[in-house]
Amino acid sequence: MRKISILGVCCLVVCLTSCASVEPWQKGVLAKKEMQFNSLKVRTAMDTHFYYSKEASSGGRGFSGGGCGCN
Amino acid sequence: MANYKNIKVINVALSAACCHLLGGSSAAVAETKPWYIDLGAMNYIEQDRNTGILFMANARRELKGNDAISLQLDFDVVTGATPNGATASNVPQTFTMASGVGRYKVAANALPVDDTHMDTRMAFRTLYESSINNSLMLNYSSHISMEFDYLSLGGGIEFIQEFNQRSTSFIGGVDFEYNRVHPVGGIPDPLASMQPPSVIQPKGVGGLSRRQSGVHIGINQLLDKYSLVQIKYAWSNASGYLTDPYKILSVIENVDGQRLGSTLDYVYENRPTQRNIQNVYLAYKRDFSGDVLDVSYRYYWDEWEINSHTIDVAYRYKLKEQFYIKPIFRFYDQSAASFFQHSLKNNRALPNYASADFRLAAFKAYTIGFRYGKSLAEGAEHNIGLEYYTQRGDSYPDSAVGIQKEQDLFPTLNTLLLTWNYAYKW
Repeated sequence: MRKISILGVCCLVVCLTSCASVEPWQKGVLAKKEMQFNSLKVRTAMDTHFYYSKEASSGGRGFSGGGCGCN
Repeated sequence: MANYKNIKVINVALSAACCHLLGGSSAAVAETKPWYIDLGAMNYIEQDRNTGILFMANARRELKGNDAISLQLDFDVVTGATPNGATASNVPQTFTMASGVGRYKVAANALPVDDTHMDTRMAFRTLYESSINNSLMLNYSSHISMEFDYLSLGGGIEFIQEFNQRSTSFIGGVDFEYNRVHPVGGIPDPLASMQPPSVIQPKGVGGLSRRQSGVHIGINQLLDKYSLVQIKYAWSNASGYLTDPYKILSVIENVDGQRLGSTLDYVYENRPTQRNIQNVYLAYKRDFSGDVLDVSYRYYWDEWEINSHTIDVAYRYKLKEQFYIKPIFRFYDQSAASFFQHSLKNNRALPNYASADFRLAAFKAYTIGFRYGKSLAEGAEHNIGLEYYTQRGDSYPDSAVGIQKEQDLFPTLNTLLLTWNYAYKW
């Protein structure tokens, strides 16, 4: 599973970097706040903190631990 | 006619003056609102267990040359009853408090929880975003987090390089964390028996440290006018004292007879002192005429043989007058740590490592809920949320013996989450 994941990610990166670029005047929708990956940082941080204290996994969307002794 | 002309000229002049004033006024407003304040609160209520309240406040100020500084304050309180690791039994159980000077009792057939548990945490974080040139940013971060029995200090540096007309961004970074654990009553000896109150407990030094360092790389890619994707890979290594000093395991009678499965002793848990952690994370966003679909997947694996899959799906549905509703769904599935055991058996040799912490067990978790909010002027936003989180594991495992088979060895965790967020310029 791990090898497949890493191989899949590598393939995806190669495919994506070969994507045609989006012209600056075409970025109106993408510039909207709700289209940002971390538009509400505090909201993301609260979710990350909650799940970090309840589950064994961490990382991905936010920081891994962030200095909490809750896990 | 002359008067009419004069009035028209005056009108034009007044309009121009108004426009100028308004323009000047908005510029002044923009100039006098250099901060972006992001506030949040979360209240989570676990059925028959803990209640937690978390506050976060983040303030970001743009500086000259596209630099910016962010300051963040976290404060949270957790109180209630937390599982101590022991298994339920058909008789009442008594446990020694962490301090070694008191006790708490748990009724027969009930999940052993420490209802004297209370924890508060305060953390302060900084982030400095430095613009090196038009396409390269360097971010420097640091944090200090304090609990009465835990201290954490950390920092990191990250670069973001944009190219391909800002359609592609490469991200990379390193971070480091130093933590000091100094539990109430001291650090328990690994797998030593819990003693009755007022007897010398098997506890040695007052505190130990744990360190964590990691690297991450990633890419953000715009796919077309309406969608973008993010891919990240992270590796980190945690070392030192990774055990939970407050968790114990029950030692169970494993010799056939009437007492088969009854509790004979409690021992403090012990975890390995090394943990390599890796994860890959994929996220995708797409705009559908003002609505936004947000999907992500994370695959996680570590040296303790924990593997997990996490899928997040959210859809921001635009309503009238800038209001929106955002249903969310999250699925999480993890395997158990190699040393996880719900209890130890008395006629078997003690293992090197053992923990009965439910967070290291195999389980599935589901979150379902929604957020309702409104987008305001200047990037401001206000929203509230209601979510339900549940954890389900193997309540009646094959490894249970005797009277243990009648006990729920993984009681379902049900949690209600209430959230509030307000972000605005100031």
